[in-house]
Amino acid sequence: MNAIEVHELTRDYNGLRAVDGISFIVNPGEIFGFLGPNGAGKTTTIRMLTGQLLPTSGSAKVAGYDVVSERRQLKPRIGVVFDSQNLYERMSARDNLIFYARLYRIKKSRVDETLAQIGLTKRAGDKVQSYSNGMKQRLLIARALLHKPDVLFLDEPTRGLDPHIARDIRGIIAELARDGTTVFLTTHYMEEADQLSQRVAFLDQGHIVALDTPSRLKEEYGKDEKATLEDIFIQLTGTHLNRGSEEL
Amino acid sequence: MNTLNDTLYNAWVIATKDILDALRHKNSRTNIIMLVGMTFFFYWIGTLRPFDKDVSVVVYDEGKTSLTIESATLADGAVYSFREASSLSEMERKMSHQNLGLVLPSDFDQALNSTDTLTLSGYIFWIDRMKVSELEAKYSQAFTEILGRPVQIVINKNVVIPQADWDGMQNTVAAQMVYFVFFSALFLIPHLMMEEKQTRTLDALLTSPASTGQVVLGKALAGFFYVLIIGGLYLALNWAYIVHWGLALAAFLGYALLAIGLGLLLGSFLKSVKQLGLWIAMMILILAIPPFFYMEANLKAGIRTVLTWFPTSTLASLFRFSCSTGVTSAQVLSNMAIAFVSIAIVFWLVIWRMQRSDRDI
Repeated sequence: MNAIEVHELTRDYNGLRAVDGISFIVNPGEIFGFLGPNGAGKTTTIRMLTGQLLPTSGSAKVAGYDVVSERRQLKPRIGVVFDSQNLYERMSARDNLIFYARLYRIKKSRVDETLAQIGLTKRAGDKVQSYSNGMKQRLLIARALLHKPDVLFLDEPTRGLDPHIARDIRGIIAELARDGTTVFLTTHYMEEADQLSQRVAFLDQGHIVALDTPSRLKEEYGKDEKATLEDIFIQLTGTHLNRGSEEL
Repeated sequence: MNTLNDTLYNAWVIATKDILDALRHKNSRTNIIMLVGMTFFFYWIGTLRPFDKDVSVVVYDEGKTSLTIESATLADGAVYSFREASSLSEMERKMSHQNLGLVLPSDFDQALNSTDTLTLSGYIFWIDRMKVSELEAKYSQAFTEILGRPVQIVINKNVVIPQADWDGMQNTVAAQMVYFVFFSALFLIPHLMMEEKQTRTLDALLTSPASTGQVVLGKALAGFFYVLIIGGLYLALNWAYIVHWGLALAAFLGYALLAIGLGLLLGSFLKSVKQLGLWIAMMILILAIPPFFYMEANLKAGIRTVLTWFPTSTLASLFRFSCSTGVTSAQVLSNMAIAFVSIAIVFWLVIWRMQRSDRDI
């Protein structure tokens, strides 16, 4: 069974097409990079795949469950790290996790286990409002991992973080993949995607313009050996836009 | 399908989080303390008038006696003023809290000339029923001083329960309750929802096993906890007015559900706290003021008909019925129907709004 199956997924907002008929699959245990600039449709895709948003058309299954009709069964199988630090700031890290542990009906001992896994044990009793951005980001990951999800969605997990904290977070993501968790990672940091992902999809204006392993993308589209994913992305989206202009 | 157990459990988890989290929030704590203070203030100043020693006596003079007193000031400064009623039922109707109904028997003039202790029947209002012996002693002493001879006022079971259509303090108590419940709900509950939206914790909550309906129910339960503190305090302070506790609790539940529903509705529609003040003021104006007019005896029929359809008016009527006697089942049921249909519509709107913002927008 594929971890994620997406078929012709489309989403319109007030007449504008944010995501335009995208299709792809993600294999179990894979880190799948979903790359694109701001406004490309990454977050809209994640919101549809996590059951937060109804697709306008198309279908998707995550962990074997349809994101529209089997949302209730889907929820315990996924973890989501949002692109904002949406934590209960007046509560401690432990209380944040205990709250979710109660919703997922898992033992409180798992809370301590997760806090240790993410390196927050020492400050677990402190209010989240006293945390640095990096610590909050770790806590968001801890919350998403609490119930041991099959598929973890990470929406821009390192955006706005100091480089050394971003490196820590990338280390945590790599470790998760080693443990067999499927990771769906959206980012506009190409280096990050290159470093972490087994495969990447380039999203531009709601379309997937390329999907393959980073090395094959470089082989296929790179002008020279030093070509980076960023170079290829610019090359592909630029080609795409130019072609559109020519057609017009 | 979610089982009922799942729904109740998840709603309870969300509610307990919100109850504790609100206590950590300085603004919520301030609101609760302010509302508790206001409840006590209105109780002491508005309802019991603790510093008011004056007594209004409504006299039914069975034998048209020669006694003509308009008012009397006692040695302790208390002023007893007298009004006349032409029948026992008119005397009862003219009475209210801190009033004494006094029946002068037809042989009062002869009795006044005798040296024996003069025994008169006194009537008190329902709210004062727990103080019969205290009031008997107080009024006996007062009338001994007024008439200059030994007087015994016997109240015993002469307790007047107001009819549903009477004016009186019970109407004010019923209408005031709207304010306390609405203030407590509207100052606290929209924040529960708006904060989750503004901080985007709602997104996380809705990807957890909690459904939209369970989140709404959880918020409603948390809101009910705070409304219960204020409303429970209000009921406890004004317990003496209540004749039918079942009706009083139904009216309170209705007030609470309506206020909670409206609080959630505001929280789900509004985007910033700045907009909230204006909307709360509008809601209080539109919904909390009608009950005061509705119970005004001289209200024009057309206006009364319009106000009949305000759920707060019908709930205030239900509460007033709980403080009254002679209420018909039809009166209770028609008011309940308007109130609870309104509540159902408000909650349906909340869930509709949440589902729209959750998945469609």
